[in-house]
Amino acid sequence: MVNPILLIAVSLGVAFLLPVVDRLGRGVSRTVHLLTLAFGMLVSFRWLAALAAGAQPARIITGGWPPPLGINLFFGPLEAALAALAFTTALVAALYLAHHEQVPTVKSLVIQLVLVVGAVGLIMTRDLFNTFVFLEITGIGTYAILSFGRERESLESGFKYMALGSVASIFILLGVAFLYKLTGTLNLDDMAGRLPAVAVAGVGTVLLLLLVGLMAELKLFPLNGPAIDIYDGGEPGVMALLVGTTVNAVLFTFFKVLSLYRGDAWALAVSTVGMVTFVVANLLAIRQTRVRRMLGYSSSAQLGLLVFLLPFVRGEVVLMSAMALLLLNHTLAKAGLLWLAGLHGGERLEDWRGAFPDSVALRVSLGALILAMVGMPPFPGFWGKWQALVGLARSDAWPWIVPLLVGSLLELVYYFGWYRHILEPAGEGSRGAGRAAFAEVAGILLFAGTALALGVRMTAGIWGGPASPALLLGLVGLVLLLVRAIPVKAGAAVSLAATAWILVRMFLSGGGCPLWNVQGFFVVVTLGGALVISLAGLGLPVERRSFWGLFLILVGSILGLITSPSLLGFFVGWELMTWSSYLLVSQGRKGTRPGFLYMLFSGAAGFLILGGLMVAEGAGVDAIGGLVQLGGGAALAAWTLVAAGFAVKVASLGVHIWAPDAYAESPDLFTPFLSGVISKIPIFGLAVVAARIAAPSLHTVAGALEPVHVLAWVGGLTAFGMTLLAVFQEDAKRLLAYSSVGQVGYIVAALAIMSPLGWTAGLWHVVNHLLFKGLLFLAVAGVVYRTGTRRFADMGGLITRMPVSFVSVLIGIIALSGVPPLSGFAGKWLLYEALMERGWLLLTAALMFASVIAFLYCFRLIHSIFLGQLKPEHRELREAPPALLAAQVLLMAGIMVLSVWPQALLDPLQRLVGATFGAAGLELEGALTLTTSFGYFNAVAIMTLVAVLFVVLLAFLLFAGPRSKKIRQLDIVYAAEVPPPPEELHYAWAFFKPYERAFAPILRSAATAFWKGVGEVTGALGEAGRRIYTGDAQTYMLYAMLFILVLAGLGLAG
Amino acid sequence: MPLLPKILWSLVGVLGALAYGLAIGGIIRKVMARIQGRIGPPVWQPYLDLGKNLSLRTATHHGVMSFIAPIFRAGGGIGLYLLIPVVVGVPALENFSFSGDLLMAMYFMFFGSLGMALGAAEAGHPHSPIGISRGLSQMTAYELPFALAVVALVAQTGSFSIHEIVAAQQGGWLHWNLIQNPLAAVAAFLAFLGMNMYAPFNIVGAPQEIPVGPPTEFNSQFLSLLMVGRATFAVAKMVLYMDLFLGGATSLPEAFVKTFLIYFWSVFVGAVFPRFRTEQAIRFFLGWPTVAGVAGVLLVMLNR
Repeated sequence: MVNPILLIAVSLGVAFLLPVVDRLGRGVSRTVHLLTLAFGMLVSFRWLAALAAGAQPARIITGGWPPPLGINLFFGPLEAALAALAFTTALVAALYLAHHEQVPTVKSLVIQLVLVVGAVGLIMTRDLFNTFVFLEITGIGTYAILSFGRERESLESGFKYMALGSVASIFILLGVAFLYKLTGTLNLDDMAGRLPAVAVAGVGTVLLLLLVGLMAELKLFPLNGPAIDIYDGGEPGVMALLVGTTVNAVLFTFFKVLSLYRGDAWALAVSTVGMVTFVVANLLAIRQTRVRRMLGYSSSAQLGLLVFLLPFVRGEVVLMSAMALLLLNHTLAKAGLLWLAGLHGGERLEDWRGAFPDSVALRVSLGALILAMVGMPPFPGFWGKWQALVGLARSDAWPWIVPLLVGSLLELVYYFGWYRHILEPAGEGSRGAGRAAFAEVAGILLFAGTALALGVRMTAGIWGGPASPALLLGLVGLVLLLVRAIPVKAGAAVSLAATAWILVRMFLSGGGCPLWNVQGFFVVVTLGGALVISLAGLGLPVERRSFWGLFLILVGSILGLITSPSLLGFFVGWELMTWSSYLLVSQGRKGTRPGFLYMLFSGAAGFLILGGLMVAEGAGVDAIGGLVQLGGGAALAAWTLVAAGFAVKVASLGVHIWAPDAYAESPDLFTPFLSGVISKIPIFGLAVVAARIAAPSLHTVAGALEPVHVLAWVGGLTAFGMTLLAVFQEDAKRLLAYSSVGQVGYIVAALAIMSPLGWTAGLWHVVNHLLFKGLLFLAVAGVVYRTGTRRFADMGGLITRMPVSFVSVLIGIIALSGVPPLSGFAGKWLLYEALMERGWLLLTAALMFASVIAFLYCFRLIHSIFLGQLKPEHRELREAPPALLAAQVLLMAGIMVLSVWPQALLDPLQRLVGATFGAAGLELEGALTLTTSFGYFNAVAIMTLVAVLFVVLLAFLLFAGPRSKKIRQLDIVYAAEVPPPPEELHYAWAFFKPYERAFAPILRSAATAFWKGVGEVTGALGEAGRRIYTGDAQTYMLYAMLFILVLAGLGLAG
Repeated sequence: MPLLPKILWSLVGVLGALAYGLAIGGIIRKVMARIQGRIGPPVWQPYLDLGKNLSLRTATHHGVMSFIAPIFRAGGGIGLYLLIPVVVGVPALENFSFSGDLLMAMYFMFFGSLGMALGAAEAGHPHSPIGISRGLSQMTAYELPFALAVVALVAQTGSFSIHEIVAAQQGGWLHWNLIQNPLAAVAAFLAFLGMNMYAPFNIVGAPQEIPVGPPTEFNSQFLSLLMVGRATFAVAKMVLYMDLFLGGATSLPEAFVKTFLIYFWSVFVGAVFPRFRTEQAIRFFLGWPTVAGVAGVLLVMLNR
């Protein structure tokens, strides 16, 4: 094995020789440079492999003097990994910089090598003074490379950086000198051993000097001003190099030096500074309009997070692997994003509109790296964060989880604020990669690819291997996403075949009907929904090529979520679902803004759920099945957080503001899935996660309050509020959007009953809502496709042009409204019987009221589109495409089966709830009549009654009285006047105006105003905080001094 | 009772309900005329109207939904009647009430309204959807006090079965729900005013403004069927209220007396009060009737 010291020696030697070699030509010097870095990379990776296989770490003694006299180096697994990362980054950075330097000189190559040497030296050394030397080397290298840019700001920022760096050096040097005086050694391990024995006043002050110096080197809050400024002014490729080398090395140094700091006070101080940096930098990033500066804040925040974790890793509260994953994730993502920023060149967020329209690989990389950056699965950062959180949750340090999640949420805000622009449709002014050389993008692809490959591997580990349907679907989706040659319709066909195949296999695999357990039930719902969408997709075109790839990833993630037995597996799927659905929502014509809002609320929901899961993890539970063990306060906390998260995700009243736009502006093909399937996943969460937690009742002045009762009212009020708002919509999709949210409110209320009958009602409604809302959304999609409008006032009389779509909507609204004889009635019946059985009387009445209000919008929907007067411009309109109609027919068939023979679904549901509750709650009397403890209902008899009445009365109309004649459109009784044109006769605008007037007092949306306020306050905070960074070097110096005083004032000095 | 005789008896029942419903309509017109100082049409005028409509020489329609509306309207009325027991304990008069409970009856009440709305709207006459907008708005509003009253009664009885609700009220008029839960009864009887669409809740068909509202474009046998629906629906509602609040009936004469009284409650009110605008009607129902309904439910909760 090669001696690791050669990593330093060879690089340093080549750095000296390069100016000479350069005489032979720039090509030669570049090659030598690259070869040197490749050598370093190879050696570090080989060492890494050997160490992983169990080899002994290398201990190198320099100059023949054993420590503590001589300088010793150490090369263990961590060192090898960091060195490998540094060399790899440097190598691809060199490739990139070769194309991006404004003044290509050999000096740049030399400095790049010096930076690597400094970093590797810092990583390996165990000597405190030597550390200082390498810090200086990296510092000088950094200033030098930063000042290569010609831009004035670049020079200025380099200077400021240097100024603060010098102050940091002074502190460090003073600290080192005094420590040497006190302990008589410079060797870190030796010093750590001797320090506790030193009982001199002032040790604390000395340590504080060293600590602040290192914190200034790490650019933690409030000393991060210059670091952020250099992101703004410096060449992004250089910043990427620094992220992979210097920054990681300094962080590792900090980690090593922390061994000198014994005692909780120091740990607390370090963690606090780290966490404050994480939260504040993320908050300040929100108001940034310049991409590079935003990335600067983000780096500062990420470094803050890592520093926060260091004491916990030292204290073995958090696993070293969490730290390693987070650091690797940050290096890959940040370096990749910086290269992309350099390649793209867009400075402001708006410049990124539809970025890289010409390269699928770069667009996917950009998306992947942004997702990696915010800690989304499958990327390594997600796993790191999870491990870190679990570590914290299981220790006394659990309160730290709160700011950590808050900071992470802020991170989502600005990254997705940026991504939002990228997702805009490409247009004029969208910048692409142009004719970028492969060398330029190699680093981006390598880093994004590595992050993705690691992620897929880890996801496979948690979801039961690469053969699981969830992962397979995801991988197929990835292929569809990446291979541009596959036609869009083929994507729909692949999706159809894949979902059909898995469904069929599920039903044929034996072991009973899949509907007999909750997991199987929701898998069937998901795949059924996906199947219908895919079928419709054969007829209805999508605007973006990436639709089907993302769709399959989405379906795969939902399957993974449902089938995973562990909390981690559940949450992986949840977050995968969140971002893939976000990307699909954003594909709508005006979808990026609603998509952004969707992401923020989904992200917040995710963090609430994560918080709840962490309470469980803290109690030692890591399987979903183990949640029943939770008790007392932990159970209440876990339940509340998890339920609140699910409540946000179903857009409960008050947090509903994200939903209408997200539903309305999604691609027409995706909205039915969003409404039919994705809104049911929180329901799955309630049934499987929340329902397992035995949350104790609260004792209030009015008696015991069950948490589920609160949840039921949340569902009930959502049902009422959203139904009411749906009545006043002027846009078909928005109407259905409000309706969807309201309908899920019923399901929440039904599940919250926590009785066999309540669950039967809820799960019945899950299926029924999927059927009728899918039907309505698809029918409306066809109408929108043909007419090009979603506004009611612009439609009317389409019954003659689109009869099949009309029948779809008719069946859909009857099933929705609950009017017998269709399947909706069984759902309402089950729900009310269950509510009465439980004794929640007022809630029953409230839901009855809400479901009657639904008639208003049901009628509005069908009347404004299909009845009334046909517009002259629609006289030649064609029916929706056949495949779209086929999908609707499939859904109608489902509704009819449930209507005539509800037992087809009720029987498996009985078994399902029986397995959960030990009782069924619903009985079959005489084969046909369903009975509960409260009532009875015979679907077959009712259907027969309606059919007989229909036939008899139709016969009456046909045969009694004269033969009736069909008259023309405008032949109406118009008081002897000529009727005005159809546009004026069609009564469709402000249809329920009197209703609006009557409800005016409660319609003023407090929710919208509230969330707008939250957004404004957060933004204002970010804006105010941003003023801290004046860009003035003197201010930064002042901060450094104040920072020391504050830390000293906290009692750390002494 | 075997199926065939049951069907025949039900048929007789439906025809009886139709005759009764039409007669009641005639009586009301007569009463109203006398209050306004007119002689008024004869009591049997609705029968004449029905016959006249059926013997017209022409009939026109606007498409498929023109057929659906009268069918749903009449089907809703007849169906609702068939789902409610008229005289509990007499199988011939219990109709098909064992096919569904009170919830089924409640939802069947919407069947006719929704079907009517759909068919009327196809004609493309603006008066129809204006009337429907008003009618549906009003319907949702009175549904709240009605739902509260139903919830109170069902919780009190412990069943959604109309049979059980009637059975629980036997043993003298003091056992009637009218007396047992007067608050729920107040809510339900105020809601009843809205259901019948007489003044003050008759803006749906507002004669001077949107001539007849939803049925504007219907004629001949279509209009006849709408009349059938209206008459049977009225009777079915009265029977339902009798079963819910007045202890049901043990014989046909008793049923006649009780339903007649129930119906005349809305005639008395209608003769005295002027018409509400739609939003006023909505606010009315969401006001005191709802308060009474909530109080009725709370009463039951406290008594448990």
